[in-house]
Amino acid sequence: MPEPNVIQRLSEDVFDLVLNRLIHDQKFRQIFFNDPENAIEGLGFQLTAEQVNALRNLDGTDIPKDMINFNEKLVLCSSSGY
Amino acid sequence: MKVLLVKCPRHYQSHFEENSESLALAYIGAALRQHCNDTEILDASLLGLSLGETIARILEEEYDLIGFTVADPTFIESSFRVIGDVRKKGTRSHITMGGHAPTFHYKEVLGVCSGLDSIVMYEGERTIAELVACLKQGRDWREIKGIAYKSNGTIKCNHPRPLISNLDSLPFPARDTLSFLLKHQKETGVVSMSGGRGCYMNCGFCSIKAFYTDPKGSPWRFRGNNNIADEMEYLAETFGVREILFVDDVFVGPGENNIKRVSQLADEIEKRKLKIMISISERVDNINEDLFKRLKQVGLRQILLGVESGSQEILNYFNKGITPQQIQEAIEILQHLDIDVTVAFINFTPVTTLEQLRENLDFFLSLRVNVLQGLLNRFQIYGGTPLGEKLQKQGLVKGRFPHFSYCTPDGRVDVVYEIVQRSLGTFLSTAYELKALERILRIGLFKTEVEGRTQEGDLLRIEKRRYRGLMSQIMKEATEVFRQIIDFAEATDAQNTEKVEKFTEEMIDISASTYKNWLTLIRFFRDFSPGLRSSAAFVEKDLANQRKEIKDART
Repeated sequence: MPEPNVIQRLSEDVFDLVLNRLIHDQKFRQIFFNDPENAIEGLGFQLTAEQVNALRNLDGTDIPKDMINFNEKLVLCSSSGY
Repeated sequence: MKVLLVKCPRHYQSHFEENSESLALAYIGAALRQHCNDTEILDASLLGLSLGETIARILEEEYDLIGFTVADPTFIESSFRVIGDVRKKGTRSHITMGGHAPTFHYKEVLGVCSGLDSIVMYEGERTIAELVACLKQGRDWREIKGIAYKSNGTIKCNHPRPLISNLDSLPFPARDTLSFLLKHQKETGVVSMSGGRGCYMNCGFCSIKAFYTDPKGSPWRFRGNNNIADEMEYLAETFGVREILFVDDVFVGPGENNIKRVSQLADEIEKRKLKIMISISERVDNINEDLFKRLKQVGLRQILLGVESGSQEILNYFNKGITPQQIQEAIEILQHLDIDVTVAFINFTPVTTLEQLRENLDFFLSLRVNVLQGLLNRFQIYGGTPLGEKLQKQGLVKGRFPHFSYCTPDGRVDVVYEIVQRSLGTFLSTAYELKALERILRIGLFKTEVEGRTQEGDLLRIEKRRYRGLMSQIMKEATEVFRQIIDFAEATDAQNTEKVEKFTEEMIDISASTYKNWLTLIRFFRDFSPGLRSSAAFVEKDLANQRKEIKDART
């Protein structure tokens, strides 16, 4: 199996900073959700083309699929923690 | 004699892929093969077959007996449909069914499903073996212990069969579907094992004790350590299994004798040099730090704790026999040992108040574990559960099997549940995504430890701390959303349907955008964190891809 994600990994310091801002800074989070590339570059970090491409693909497109059959899911999981 | 054992798919497309075998089919299959070699297993649920495909597969051959396993009511309607269709197509096989739901609802099941000949009640190995023997020899099977059936319009139920006193006498489960599981869920397929059966407690929401009732025997039996270790070794050597989930409701149990027993199992695992990651379920009052430290040394990495509520009143209502403080202490011990904790939680019960829902939110946050799913969980009325039976007697149950429901005395709680049910799919989906991420980290970390890759292990430990920060933030935001719904229900007339509807619509919108945000955060973590570089980073494939791969493999 190929390892498609390796190339786009961020370095420790960049990842820590971005994650920390995403968790604790609502304003940064909104900027990131609207334009992740600019949000990270706005912190002073340059991204590779692969990283930019991967960032643009983070947004979930499978939400409608996940939201259907919710009633059944509730019943299904009501007696199991796994 | 040709026998087919079937697990049907659920009657709707499930969000959750089956990622483990049916141990029920596997145990029954193995027991039957001692008498009847021509026994096949069709786990249509694991294979991802549709109902039509399941029916077509059954009709490919003529069987003398077809047995359906129905663990919980979510499988019953699909089983009815399949049985009805195969009968319509002219199948003359003896059709039987087993499991919790048909055992406790045999009257309803036999009443509704005219194509069914019998129900194998309670523990099934011996009963179905005798049923097969009777059919083979042309003897009357209606006298068999542990059988229910319909005769001239009357439903009859024979005396129950005594439980198997020595579980070591059972053959290992028939692992017919394991290769499929491991091949198509390469890194994620969970291999289940059973270390025992039954439970010594009698929680109000649970039917385990009633299912394994034997007036002459113990309600909780366990296998010998050598027998368990033999099966683990067999799975590792034959199939290359690296992860085992013990499905026992209680793995350790109470008291010094059980601590000694499980310590000796740990010794046996260590002696045999089995490098297998282990998951178990346990009660919070059985978490002994020394024992769990020892279990971690031999592979324990995840535990499902039966927490159920943060309210002492509700814990008492469930006859759970524990306190919120014991829950917190148990989780602290496990977190200190770096064993991943999953909690079973039932937020809504027939007696829950708004105040208790708030109490649960505060409690959730104090636990520092992913309990998103628990926020949505509602007590389900299942046959064989003490509370289900009590509510039936009190006339508080609405609907018919398998669609039972109830109202809570405080109608505002029902309003909260209705809004939650319609709007917070976000929580369930996010819970799943977080679990997937935690699992990647768990598998990766275990692999690095087993292979002695210290540096990578250190990186993954850092990732795990980061993950906990992210998960705690999501939990915090989730409880804020939930609190909004409680506030609304408290301040609003439950009868004002227009207002409730408007608020629900708003929550649906909020939920969709919240989910999108959470999912982006989780995916950012998964795809960009520096420590998730090893193969462990790719163990969780996208659900859609996984489904497609399984389908391709099948066709």
